[in-house]
Formats: sequence, C-alpha cells, structure tokens
Amino acid sequence: MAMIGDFFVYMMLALTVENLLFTRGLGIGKTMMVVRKPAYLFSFTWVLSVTMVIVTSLSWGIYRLLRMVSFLYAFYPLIYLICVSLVYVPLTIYYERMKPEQYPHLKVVLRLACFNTAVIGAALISMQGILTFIHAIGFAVGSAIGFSAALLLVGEGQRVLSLQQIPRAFRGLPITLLYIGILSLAFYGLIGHQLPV
Amino acid sequence: MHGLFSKNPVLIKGLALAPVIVASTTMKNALVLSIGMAITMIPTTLISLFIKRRQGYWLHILLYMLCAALSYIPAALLIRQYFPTEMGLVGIYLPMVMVNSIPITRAQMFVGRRKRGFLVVDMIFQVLGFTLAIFLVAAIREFFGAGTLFGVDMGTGFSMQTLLYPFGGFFVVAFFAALFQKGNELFKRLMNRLDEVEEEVQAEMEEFEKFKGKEERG
Amino acid sequence: MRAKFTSAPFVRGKNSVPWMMTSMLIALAPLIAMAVYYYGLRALMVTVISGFSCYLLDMVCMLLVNRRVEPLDLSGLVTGITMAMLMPASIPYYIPVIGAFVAIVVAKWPFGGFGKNPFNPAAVGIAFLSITYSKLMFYYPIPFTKLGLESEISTTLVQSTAAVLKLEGIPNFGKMEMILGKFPGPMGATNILVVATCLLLLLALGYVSWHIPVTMLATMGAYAYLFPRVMSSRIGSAFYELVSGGIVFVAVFIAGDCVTAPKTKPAKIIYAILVGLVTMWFSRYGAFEAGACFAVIILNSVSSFLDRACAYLYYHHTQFKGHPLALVKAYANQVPLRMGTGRSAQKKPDSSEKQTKQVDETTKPKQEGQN
Repeated sequence: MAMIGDFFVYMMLALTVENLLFTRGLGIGKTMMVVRKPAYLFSFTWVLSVTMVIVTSLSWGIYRLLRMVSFLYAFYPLIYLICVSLVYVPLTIYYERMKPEQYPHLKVVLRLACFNTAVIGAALISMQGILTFIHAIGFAVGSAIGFSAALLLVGEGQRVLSLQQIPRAFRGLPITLLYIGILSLAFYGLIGHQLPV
Repeated sequence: MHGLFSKNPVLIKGLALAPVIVASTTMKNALVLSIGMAITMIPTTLISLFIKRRQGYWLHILLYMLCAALSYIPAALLIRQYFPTEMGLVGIYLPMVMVNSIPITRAQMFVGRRKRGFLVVDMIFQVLGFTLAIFLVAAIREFFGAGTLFGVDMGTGFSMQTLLYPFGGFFVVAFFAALFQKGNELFKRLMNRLDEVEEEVQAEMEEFEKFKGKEERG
Repeated sequence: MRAKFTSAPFVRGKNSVPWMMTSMLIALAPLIAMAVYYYGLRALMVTVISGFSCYLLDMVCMLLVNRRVEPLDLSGLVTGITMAMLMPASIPYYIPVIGAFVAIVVAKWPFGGFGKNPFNPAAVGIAFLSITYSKLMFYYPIPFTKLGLESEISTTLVQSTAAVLKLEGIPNFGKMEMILGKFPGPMGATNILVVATCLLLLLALGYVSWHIPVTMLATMGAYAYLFPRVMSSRIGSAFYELVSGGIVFVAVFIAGDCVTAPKTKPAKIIYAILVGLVTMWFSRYGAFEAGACFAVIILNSVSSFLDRACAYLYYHHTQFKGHPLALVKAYANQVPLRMGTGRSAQKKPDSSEKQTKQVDETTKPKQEGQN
C-alpha cells in the first residue's frame, strides 16, 4: 500500500513541481509544433506516456545491472538510444504495416514523442540512481502527463498571442519563451529554493 | 554561412534550447557544452556524407543517434578528465546536447540533396552559432547572476541569483532571440535598401547613356 | 456592420483608458494615505519611486515599440503603485526599480503594451521580487516605528502574520487590530477596512465587477473554514487567512484586472474560484507565505480559455447532454492556429479527419467573449 502511495507522490511531484517543461526546460523545440494541433496532442500524450514508462523502466533496470561498471556515465546516451529504439521501432513497424491509414498522422507524432528532450531527460534522471523502481515509474507517468498538460497550457497561450499585435522583434520564438518563462516563474513559487538539477 | 546570425539554430530556429536555457549558468558550462556539441558534429557530418535516401525514414534518425551516442563515449571521458566540476553542474544536459541536437536535425534535412562541401560548411557554422548563443547567454547570466565572468570575480557586488534559475534563463534567451530577430530584420531591410539604391543607380546610368547617345547622334 | 478590431480592456461607459486609470488612482489614494499614517514618509517615498520608475519605463518602451509617447497613459503609474502597496515600507529603494523593470519591460511590452499583456505586470513583478529578494520582501517593520528616509534601514523587522500562519501558529493581534491593519504586513494591504471601501468605490465607478473579488474571497474563506491549518475556531481560521498576506488587496486590484481576467460572467466566477484555491495551496504548500500573485499569474494564462469554453458550452450545451467525452473530441478538432504575423491568424483546415460519433462536424466558433 505504501508503494502505491509513493507512486502517486512521485507522480504528483513530477506533474507539478518537477515539471519537465517549466522547471527543467526540457522539451522545447520541435515539440512545439505539436502544440499547433490539439488533435495531435492526444496521440502525443499516450505515445509519450508509453515511451516514457518503458524507457524509464528499461534504463533503470540497465543502470541497476551495470552499476558496477566504472565509466558507465559515458554510455548513458547509448543506453537511452537502445531503450528508445526498442519502443520506436516496433511501434513504427506496427503502424506502418498493420494500420497504414493512421500511419501518416502518427509518423510525426511517433518521431516527436520518442526522440524528444523530455524523454531523454527522464531517462537520464532515472539513471542517476536515486529513485527506486516504483518511484521511477511514477515519475515517468507524472512527467508524461505533466509535460502534455504544460504543452496544453502553452498552446492556449499561443492561441491568445496569435491574435495580438506583438512587436515584430518578439514574434514567434521569443514571445513563446517569454510566456513559458513567466509561467515557470509562477511555478517556482511552489518549489522555492529546492530546484532539481 | 547563415548559421551564425540569420539562421542561428538556437535563437532563430529554436533547436537545442533546453541546455541553453537551463545549463548556461556559467561560462565554463558553456564551454563544456560547446565542446560536446563540436565533438558530435564530426562523426555525424561524416556519416551524413555517405547516407542515401533509400533507407526508411526511421532508419536515418537511429543511425545518426547511434553515431552521436558512440562519439559521446570518448567525449564524456575526456570532458570528465578536464572539467569534472562543470560536468557535474551541467548534469543531464551534456548528453542531451550531444544526442538530440543540431547536427542531427540539420543532417536530416540535407540527406543526399546538396553538395557535400556545402553541408560541411553549413554544419560548422551551425555549431558556431550554437556556441555564440550559449556563450552570450552564459555571459549575461553569470555576470548579473553571480558577478563573475569565467570564474573571475568582476568586483561588482551586484548579484541576482534568480538569473541562474531556469526562468531567468528563459527570460535571457527570449530577449536574445528577440535581439537576433530584430537584427535579422534590420539587416534584411538594409539589404533591400541597398538593392533599391543599386537599381536606382542602374536606371540613372541607363538614362544617362541614352541621353549621351541622343546627343552624339543629333 | 463593420467590426472594429480592438483589444482588451473592453470597457463601456465613460470609456477612455485615462479615465479608468484615474479612477484606479483615486481608489489607491486612501491606501497610500493609510500607509503613510502607519509607516511615515518612507512609505510615500517607496510608492513614489515605484510609480515613477514604472511610468518612466512605460514611456521609454512605448517610444521604442509604438514610436510615439502618450504621457496621459497612466497605466504604468497604477502598476507601480499597486506593486508598492505589496512591499514592506522598509524596503531599500533599488528593489521597486528592479520590480518596475520586470513588470514593464519583461511582462508588458514584449506582448504589445497596454491591453495586450496576458499576465498582470504587477503580479509578475511582485512574484519576481518575492523570489529574488525574499529576505527583503517578507520582513516588515512594526507600524508606528520611525523609519528613516535613507536607502537601507536598520530597524528591527519582523515577519508578517502570513508567515505565522504558515508555521501553523495564531497571530497574536486582536481582531479589530487586524481589520484596521495595525500589524506588520505589506504597506498598503493590511488595512482591510480601507481596501473594502476601495472596492466599493471601484464598483460604484463601474470599472470592476464584483464577481471576481467577492467569489475569490468567498472561496478562500470557505476553504479556510473547511480545512483550517491553525488551532483556532473555524471562523477564526477563515478570518486570519483572509486578513493576512495582502490577499484582499490582490483580490481587488490585481485579480480583477480587466485586461488579464476573463470577460464573461461564468468564466469570471470559475476563474475566481480557481484563483482562490490555488492561492490557498501555494500559501500552504509552497515556498513563500504569500501565494496570491503566483496564483494570479498561473490562472491568467487560462482566462481566455475559460471565456471560450464558457461561450462554447453556452451555445452548444444541448449537444453534449450525457457525452462528456464529446467535449474533449470537440476540443481536439479545433482549427489549428498559425503563429507569426500578429493580427491575421490565418488558419489552415484540419487535415486529419477523426470522425467523431456524437459531435457535429463544425469546428468551435472562435468567440473572444466580449462582455
């Protein structure tokens, strides 16, 4: 029972306080494109959740196994790559062969959801060896949901901003960053000085 | 050639933003991240010279990331050797810079399409663009946030810790991005104006020639 | 009928922006007077510095962005004075200037200036200062102590009652004292009686609707009543929570700001409830004792969504009886937006046709709720 409680605690933590977008700045970039279409966001969320959970658990497992190897940190990206490929390749093949009518839509989403800085970040965090397995899974699920919620919020902001007359120097990327920055400021009021690295 | 200013990968295109925003708190960190990025560039460029378009869409990414991840191994060992504290400070952002970053994204766009030399030069300038961006941001953040530059105390008592936090990073990067965009626009306007002036001069020269021709005839 | 493209605030009545700003200043004047009464001339100095630097930066940015200056636009002044009221009177003079910079140059003009800012500049400024200078922002002088006019103060400073509440203690001031503001706290925000009077004044002048402040305070009172965190009676808990931390001031002057808050009535009520709840959560579980400004910032980002959602539900609620999932699908099928060129948001048609079962195919009407 305590494990389930822990799971939820970590999930909530990852959702709000250690939100990948606002607190750690992960996931900006191409994933912003996903925000343009709310329809993409739903498929993005579930692919992201699946990817995160599998990648986190696999990398956690590998870290535990190979903890004794001294230069393991040099291999982190390789481990991450292996884990992500184990998710990406089967999913892509499945959708390409079995469900070709959904493939064009999902092609972009799969690529974005699997190879995005949020997933790398979550995998790397889980490989730092601080969390137990249940915590790591909770963290992964919470991160995925939290990240999608953050994207939703930023998407709403984009919608509002697109109707305004922003000075030309700030249009596009800078104003988005500023918007996320101000929201990040507000979230910081929750966590104060215990910032995760 | 445009990778430095007008198509700066970080400030205009918005790639590899996460390390620039969060981890660029000191200039030494910026140095470490730039070295990492530069090291990744080499094998990726080499591989992209040989890749053909025939393989599946998903194979490209995996191949690039594979060689990036493999090149990370010696790079990480090297960086740990010379910059142990900074490596701890940038934490998860160093592997991120190397694996999910600019050379890969650019290489994807250039698959088998352009001349090989063009690709290499473009890649170099992209990496230089990243370096410029991250050093600028890190300089501002370090100077205003901790009063030092490259670890050397500048002597001003002014230090605002919040610039070292992520939202400070967001603000600084946002303003630099706006600055670069504005610079781009002014530059384009300047170029347009120069083109206009050139056209006017041409037109006048032609008129003058016609006038001269008339005079000679009549 | 030609539609005129205007932006917030969509005010009716005596609707010129200078008049609106003037009425806000009139409402703030009694608070400044009370601050001076409690804390002496230094309070006035802080207010003047804050207001003036905001105004100056506002003019400078206006010049850079709009290529012209309108000296009658007092919105900067109002932002400055609002921020000053939430600071302790003993604060060094450079801090309001930094706050002014953040509020005007970072939170207001990159978005386009007055009426186009999604976040309340005063809230952003105060939030930033709370984080950066938390030691200076959250220690207050005791009322009626003599404060010098020099930049740095060396009198004893104490924590406010909000800090006491955070530690789950009961502030040891009498109820009447707390209403009148005779306890250490933010400069203009402690005197509840005067703030309430200002609210009535603003209501009379017609520039603030009662929905947001009243609902917000009611929510917070109810929450404090149901989940008290101090060892006193429930009503006592509700009372102390409402009186501390400058919450009433924020509810009246910042949360109800017509530019950043929702514009339709049901949306306003939902917004106010959420602001109240989030403020309580931030104040209890967050890092700082006064969570109101952070809550306002977060909910400012959804105020436009609330407007649209309420309008959409109002016009289409008959289709959704019993199918809540259809709402989600309707949201998913919205026309995607294209960023970039400001006024004309030209939209591409949705290319992925997910056939939904219950909802009709028309995409959601884009209604910016205009009163």
